[in-house]
Amino acid sequence: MDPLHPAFRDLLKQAHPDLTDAIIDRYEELTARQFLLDPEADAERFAALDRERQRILREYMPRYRELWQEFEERRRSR
Amino acid sequence: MATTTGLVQQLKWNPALGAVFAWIGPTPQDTRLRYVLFRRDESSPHRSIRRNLVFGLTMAQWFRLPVVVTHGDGDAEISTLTIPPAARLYVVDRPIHLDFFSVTADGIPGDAVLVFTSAGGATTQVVPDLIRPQLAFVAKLPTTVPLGPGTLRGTSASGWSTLPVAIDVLAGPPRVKRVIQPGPSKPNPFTFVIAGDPALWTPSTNTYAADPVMANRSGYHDSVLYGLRNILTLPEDCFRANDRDVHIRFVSIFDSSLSASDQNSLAYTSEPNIIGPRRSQMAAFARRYGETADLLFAVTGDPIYTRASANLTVDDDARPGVTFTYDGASHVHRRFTTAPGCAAVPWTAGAADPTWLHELGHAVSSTASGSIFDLYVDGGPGGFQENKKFRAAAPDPIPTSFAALDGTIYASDPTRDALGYPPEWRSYHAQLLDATRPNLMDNFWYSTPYTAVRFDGLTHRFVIDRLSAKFFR
Repeated sequence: MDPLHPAFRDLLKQAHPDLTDAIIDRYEELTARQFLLDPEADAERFAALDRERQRILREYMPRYRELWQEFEERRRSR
Repeated sequence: MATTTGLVQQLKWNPALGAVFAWIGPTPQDTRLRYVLFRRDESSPHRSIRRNLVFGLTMAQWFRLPVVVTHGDGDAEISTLTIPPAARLYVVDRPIHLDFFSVTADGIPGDAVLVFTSAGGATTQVVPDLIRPQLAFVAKLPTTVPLGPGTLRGTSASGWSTLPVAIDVLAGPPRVKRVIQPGPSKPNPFTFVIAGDPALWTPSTNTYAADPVMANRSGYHDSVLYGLRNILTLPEDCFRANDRDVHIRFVSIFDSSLSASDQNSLAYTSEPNIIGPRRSQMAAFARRYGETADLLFAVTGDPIYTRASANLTVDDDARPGVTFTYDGASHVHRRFTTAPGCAAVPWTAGAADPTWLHELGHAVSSTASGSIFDLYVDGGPGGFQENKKFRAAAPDPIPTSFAALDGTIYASDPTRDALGYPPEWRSYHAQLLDATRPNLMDNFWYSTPYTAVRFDGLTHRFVIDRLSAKFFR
């Protein structure tokens, strides 16, 4: 899986005051493990990792998707 | 005796002198004047020799072939003419405007140019977008190339030149399946399929929607070029070391006629921004187009779901392989697969990052013979991991030796290049090939430029060996 761009990590922390590098690292580890799995052949393990990952997103990074969209648009326009 | 080499730029018959003058050199402005003299009193065999010299010069001029002529040291009269064997160019598939176009040959130089000549004599030069010694590739054949029958040859300022081949240029439409490089002529060449994803699956709602890439064929072509450049031109050379990429069959499939359905969906989306490959669909999809894929990358077009991911190869354990040892334990690189290593990659991936190469690092590996995992996180997927090991506790020192591959010991990376191992990490990695940059499987965004990253030495060797087992089946 693509690694997290350091500039986006900074954006996430600026937008979420309670967010720490440790939480982001935990999210990244779950993501890396989840998306090496086949979602259909390994459905149970995929779903278990996804539940934990989504929980972290909801609790600590609710603006992730909106920030990602802005970040990608800026990168594409360069 | 002296020699003059070059192209025959001009020929002129002077009847009064009974001589054919030849201007020979690399360009019309840089030539040496040589001549063939017909003497009134010479014998028939000698006259035949002169005629043959003129015939050879004429053919060389017509086909733009370099010549080597010999003459006296202080003399310009041609004694002998040699036309060295010219390279032969092979057109992989018919030239079509705005479609992929590629030619194969031996020893294509980096400054090669493709010269299209119409039946009416109009010429258009096209600089390939990617050149390897065996392949010249154009991502979108320009519409300035004359339509209809004509000829194509290769040439370069460095002196490479090919015989012309007959072609017939079409206005369109671009092909659904395009062989970019045919690979070796055998029943089962190692095959890398790149496909535009016809449909995106949303697992949470179990719905399918047309992938936006299907409405952007031009962007798909840009992505394919970017991907091939990732694989074949960046400093990490495991796919092309010693020109081994000649053993790869590259195929593009872009089929916008397909409906948004399960069997046509090669990728799925996952909140908030992740695009994942549907490995379960890959082999069957490729087979529908007559291909047996060892690797399949699906190019997607959603502007939000742009974080690429990959799935590992599933090897066919029922078929032969090449045994290797890792830390003394025996494993096998199987020559064939039951499911291709795969990835979903966004077409917006820029030319400035090594995303395709990073995902390839995952996709070429397998759970059974050693998975290649991300190094920017501490944990792992479990099982046999080729490129990551763990200490019992974070404060434990990093061992000097990382692993032994076929008896060769590879050292550990004590510092994780300039990134450093976080104090709470237990994992550690093998010694880097380029200690000034992160590992390709680590956070490559910390490299300048991003694309200069490489594997560690152990993974580089491991991938080369694994690919060799498959290339040379």
